[in-house]
Amino acid sequence: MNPPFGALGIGVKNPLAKVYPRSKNDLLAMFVERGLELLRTGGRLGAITSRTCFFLSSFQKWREEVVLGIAEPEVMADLGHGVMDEAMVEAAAYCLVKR
Amino acid sequence: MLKGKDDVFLNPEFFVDGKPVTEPLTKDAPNENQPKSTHLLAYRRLRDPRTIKLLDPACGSMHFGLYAFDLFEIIYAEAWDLNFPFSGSRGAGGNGLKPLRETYASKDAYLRDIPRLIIEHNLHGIDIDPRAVQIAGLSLWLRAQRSWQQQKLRPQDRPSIHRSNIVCAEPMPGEKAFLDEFIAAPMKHFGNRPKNVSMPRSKPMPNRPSKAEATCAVYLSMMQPKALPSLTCAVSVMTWR
Repeated sequence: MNPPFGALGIGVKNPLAKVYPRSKNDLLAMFVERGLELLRTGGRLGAITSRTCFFLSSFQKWREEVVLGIAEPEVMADLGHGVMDEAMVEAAAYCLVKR
Repeated sequence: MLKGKDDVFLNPEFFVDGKPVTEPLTKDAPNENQPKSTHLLAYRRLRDPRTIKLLDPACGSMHFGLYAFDLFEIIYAEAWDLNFPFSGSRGAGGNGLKPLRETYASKDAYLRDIPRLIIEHNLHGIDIDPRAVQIAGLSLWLRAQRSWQQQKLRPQDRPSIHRSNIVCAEPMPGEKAFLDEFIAAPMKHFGNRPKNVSMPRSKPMPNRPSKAEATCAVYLSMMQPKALPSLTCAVSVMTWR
């Protein structure tokens, strides 16, 4: 998936932060968490997103409890600039396996 | 920003006299995060290809789905020759389906049906843009026609595709007044909506992912099957739990 990313709109921020407390800072984190929820054990989630979620300290909980907690990274490519045509974003593509 | 022991920063503030402040990356640098041994992920059991599901939750015009279509075609073609035995509800003939060789009289009949099977059983997509959802449905339908063209199948002999699993999810924050208004409004993009808005079809669809189904609260409409032959398209509202 190539989910939307960025901070949440004011109207949805609080309700969503309650449902996804581990992924509340960014929509992409929520898409990953929800995607993993939908998978059977052994199912795979592939995503291309901004790479910042793997580096910013505000994503620590998401990394520890979602990416490494309910899933296991199988492969990851830290792509950087110029991958997504027009989007000014440094990208990373990865595949997670549901535990 | 977190940084590992071996990271080299390229921003100017990390350089002193033209040299990076951090230690350069070396091959034998100890890294406590490095796994001690190779970790192998076990292959998953083979299963009836009709029970494999792919969901793109932000599918746009279904670009990823088109790529997956190619892979599913290969998986399906292999499945006939493998003819693997029953292995529980998820194996051959799982989910209430008869095994492939009981469903089809011949391999040719089966190969002919694969494009339809992929669209009806395997590919699932959600997007917030109704136009993108229309295009996604169309692009899958065209992709199926391409396969049939390659099989030199005359249009009148091609299986008809009765549904696709692409839905439009209006990102509602859960305000009931807006939701009611949305349901009441005619969906001009998609023709008339069915009378029963709580269920998408007169009979339940057993093959949709159950949790995704739970999030899709209201199905609104589908394309007139005659308007675009062999293609249907559903629209739904997603509600946050």
